[in-house]
Amino acid sequence: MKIMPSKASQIYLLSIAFLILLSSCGKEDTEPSVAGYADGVFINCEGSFNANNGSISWYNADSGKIVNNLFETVNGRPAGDVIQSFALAGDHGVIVANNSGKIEIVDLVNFESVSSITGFSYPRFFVYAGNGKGYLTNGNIKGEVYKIDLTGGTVTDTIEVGMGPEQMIIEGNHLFVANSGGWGFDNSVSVIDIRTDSVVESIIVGDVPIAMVTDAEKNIWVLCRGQVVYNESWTEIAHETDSKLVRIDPAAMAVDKEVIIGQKGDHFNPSWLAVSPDGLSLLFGEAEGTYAMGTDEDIQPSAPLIKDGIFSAAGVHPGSGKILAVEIKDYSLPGLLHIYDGNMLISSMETGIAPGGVVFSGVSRP
Amino acid sequence: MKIFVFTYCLLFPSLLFGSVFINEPDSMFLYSIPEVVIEKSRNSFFSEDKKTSTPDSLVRAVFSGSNLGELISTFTPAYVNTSGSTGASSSVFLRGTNSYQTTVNWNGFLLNSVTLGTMDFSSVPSAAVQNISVVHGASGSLAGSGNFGGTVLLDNTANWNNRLQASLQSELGTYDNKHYSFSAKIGNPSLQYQVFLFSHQAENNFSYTDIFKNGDPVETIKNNSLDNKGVMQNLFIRLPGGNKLETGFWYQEKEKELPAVMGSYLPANASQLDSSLRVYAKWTKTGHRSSFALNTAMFREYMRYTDKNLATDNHYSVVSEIITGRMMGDINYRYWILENLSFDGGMTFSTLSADITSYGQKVAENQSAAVTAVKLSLPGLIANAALRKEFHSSTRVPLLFSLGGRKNLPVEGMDLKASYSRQFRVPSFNDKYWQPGGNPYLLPESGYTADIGIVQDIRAGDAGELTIEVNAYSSGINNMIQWVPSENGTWWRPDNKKQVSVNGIESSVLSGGIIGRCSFTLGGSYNYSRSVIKRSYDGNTGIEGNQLSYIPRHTGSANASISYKKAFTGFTGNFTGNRFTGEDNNRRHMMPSFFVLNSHAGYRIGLGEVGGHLQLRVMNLLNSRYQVVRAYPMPGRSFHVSFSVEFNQQ
Repeated sequence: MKIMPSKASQIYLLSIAFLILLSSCGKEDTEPSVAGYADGVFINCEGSFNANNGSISWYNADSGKIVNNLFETVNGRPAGDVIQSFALAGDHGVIVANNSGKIEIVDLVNFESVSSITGFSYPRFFVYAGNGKGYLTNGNIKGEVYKIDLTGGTVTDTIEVGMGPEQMIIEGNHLFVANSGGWGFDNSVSVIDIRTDSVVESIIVGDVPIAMVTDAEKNIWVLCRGQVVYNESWTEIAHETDSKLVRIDPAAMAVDKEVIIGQKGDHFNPSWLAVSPDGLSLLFGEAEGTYAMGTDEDIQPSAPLIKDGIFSAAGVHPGSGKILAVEIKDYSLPGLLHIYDGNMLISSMETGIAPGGVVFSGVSRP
Repeated sequence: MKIFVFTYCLLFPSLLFGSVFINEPDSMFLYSIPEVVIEKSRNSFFSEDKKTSTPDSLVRAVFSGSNLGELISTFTPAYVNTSGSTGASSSVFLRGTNSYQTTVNWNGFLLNSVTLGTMDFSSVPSAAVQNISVVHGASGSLAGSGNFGGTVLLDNTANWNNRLQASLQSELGTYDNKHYSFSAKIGNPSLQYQVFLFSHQAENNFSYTDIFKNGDPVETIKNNSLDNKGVMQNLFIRLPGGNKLETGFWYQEKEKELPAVMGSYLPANASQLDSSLRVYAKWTKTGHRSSFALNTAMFREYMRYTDKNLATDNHYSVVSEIITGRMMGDINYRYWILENLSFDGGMTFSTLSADITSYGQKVAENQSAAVTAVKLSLPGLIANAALRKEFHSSTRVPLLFSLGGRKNLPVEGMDLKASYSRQFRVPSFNDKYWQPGGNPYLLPESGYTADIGIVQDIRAGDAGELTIEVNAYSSGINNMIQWVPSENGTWWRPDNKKQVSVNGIESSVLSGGIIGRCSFTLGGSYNYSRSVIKRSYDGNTGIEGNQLSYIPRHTGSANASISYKKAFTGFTGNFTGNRFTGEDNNRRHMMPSFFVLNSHAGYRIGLGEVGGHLQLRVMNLLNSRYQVVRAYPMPGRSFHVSFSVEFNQQ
């Protein structure tokens, strides 16, 4: 006997199918991986200035899916205003909200907010030193590094450095701080002994150092963007200096190599720096494209690896070796995450508004 | 050369009829046009085919201590966008367009900022002028640049029967609000002098729930005080031979502290001072069937923005100053060719200047326009047509035209209105000259506005009247200007980014009457706007079809009042629907709708020529928690007690 569904059950089944269809149409997927959010790629998205819509996007390399607005989804409030950076701190993550004057500490597994530390005037980047301690750069002209006790949620020390401090790297017992100049000018890297929390050296590198990475031999590479001064009407560049990649020997606390990548007159001023997982190649991005350069090379690459797209940041996935680059479309619209295999674009997907950094976390698989 | 030929052709009829006017013989006076019609400004004279909203006298009296933005939200469905409490910068969005697409005119002279193109409605005290009207979807060919949404007309007028009228008003309110004003009107049938002085101080230190902070703490807003004061004077002189002179002077200083946004732990020490000096002079000569008006004005604006790292610092970390000027001239000749057919010919001239550090140089521009228009006024039918050609020193503007009419329908009291107008908006000085990024070669925004509506008046003698008006409108805007990040990502630049389509329906109901010993008024308005991006010129197809950010689809207002003998009470309310904060229309960042209800009650005092009132006004009666601009809290319930003494001798 053939069982014919009644009209009511047909409507019921259709309704269920419709609901399933609707649920699959959702723009945002909040499905975490098995290990929570600890294993994935975090993208800090600045958001629109003064709109408190800065966010964290989380990309799952296994599923190829992205979760946008992760912090707000979990915690019921936005991450803050102008999310400058995101950093890993053991089992926790640290979100630096520049225009909120705060850092937000989250549990990496469930991304719940653990605490907020406030009172910063212009926070930029955080680096974790272990044992619940870390350092935060702060200041747009006069610069300082705050020592942060994440467990107690307090600032335990303030160390004066150069102007406009940005990214930091800890190598051995030393913290290297890139002094970008902020709204002024600087060309130095401050070295802080983290046992005494005092500045022990100031290394002159190149004009406007903004980013740093560590290569395979534990040397520190500093991207110096070069100074650009416009004429009064901002119609043309009145003064410009070379942009460089400068290598610091951390043991000697001295520069041992530099490669000029942009020369006066060519307006080549890269904005970000990344390193390959094996530490043998550097990637840097400029308006003309994304360039790759071996750490053993002495001259700037002649052509970009990726010509299309102006990226605000990028990184090389430690597991797959793929390049993950983020692009700001507009400061009021979602940005894009592009995934490249070499110079071949594989996929693109929407992020939060104005993505500005890529951080790899946990066991990352292809 | 072409420009001069064109201008001459456009103005030729004016010159021709002007010569007739000068030698107007008595034998020609077969008919006379009423003086009040003859003298009307172009914007008013040709607005009968447009929906025009005006506040009733009771609403004006109740909100006499408020600013223009607060008042407009009570009698129109306009979206009044404000970034905080009293005195915070406020702009008006009409008919689903942006705030810089609505103009504001004071006695016929443009008030919009030279640098931004917008108008800060919080800086205008609502009691300063006698007539306030909002012309929805004003004609670009008559009102000039930037009227996709409409125009707000602020006019001082003389009552020639007045001898002496004076009023002193004070209002004290929650959050340390103190508002004082004095106005006087003195004169005779030949000369009228008016002065209005005001002072408004407020701490604005209200509490709010900071939903952007962990735990939703209740906080008190800091660095939010207001100090606004000014004086406006007008002099009207009636001379023999149909001559009239009029001058006006308006000086104002507004200093407003700027609080931090919600969710911020940064100290807030920023402050903004805006001062303005505006003067104008008008000469009008009227005949039996013609008028000639020569108007000129000079406006100077100064803005200083300062910020400190710490409140205790004795030096500023940021000081930014802006000085702008606008000189304007307007000549208009109006002539009734026939009793029911009039002709207007006119020219306008403006010189705009700006001295701003961020422009890198002092900037000045000349703008002029030739306007010609005809109006037919038959029994049951009014129709008009206008042409305008603008000449700008740096922007090419297309020829503008408009057509409009109003026709009685067979149903008693019912009229049909319709209009079509080409529109444009010249890029603002910031769009053109801000460094870095400004682009002097930007195209003007251009497009059209079409409007059709029905208005029904029902009058029941002394018992009351009811007016219902429904309008459907449509606008297309090409080359909409938007600031976007530059190629190297280090600054922003304006670009002609989008084609936008705005379609909507606007309706209003207004009734008033007398029941027994009570008189009442009841009003309501509603606007539905679908303002969508039709095309993104940069190929960002993902935003096409989306609603423009910060443009609500639904807005409305309502007001009701009832008077019994000398007592009166009532309410006003306005509703603003959901607004997207980005063009991606992400619902997560959508601003929720809100409804704000205000109420008032008072008692009028009258002893012969001396009168006054005592009034309590409760703003945000329901204590709604809302934000108009994301992350800027609005105050909760507040109480305002006002007292006035008036002297009136006709």
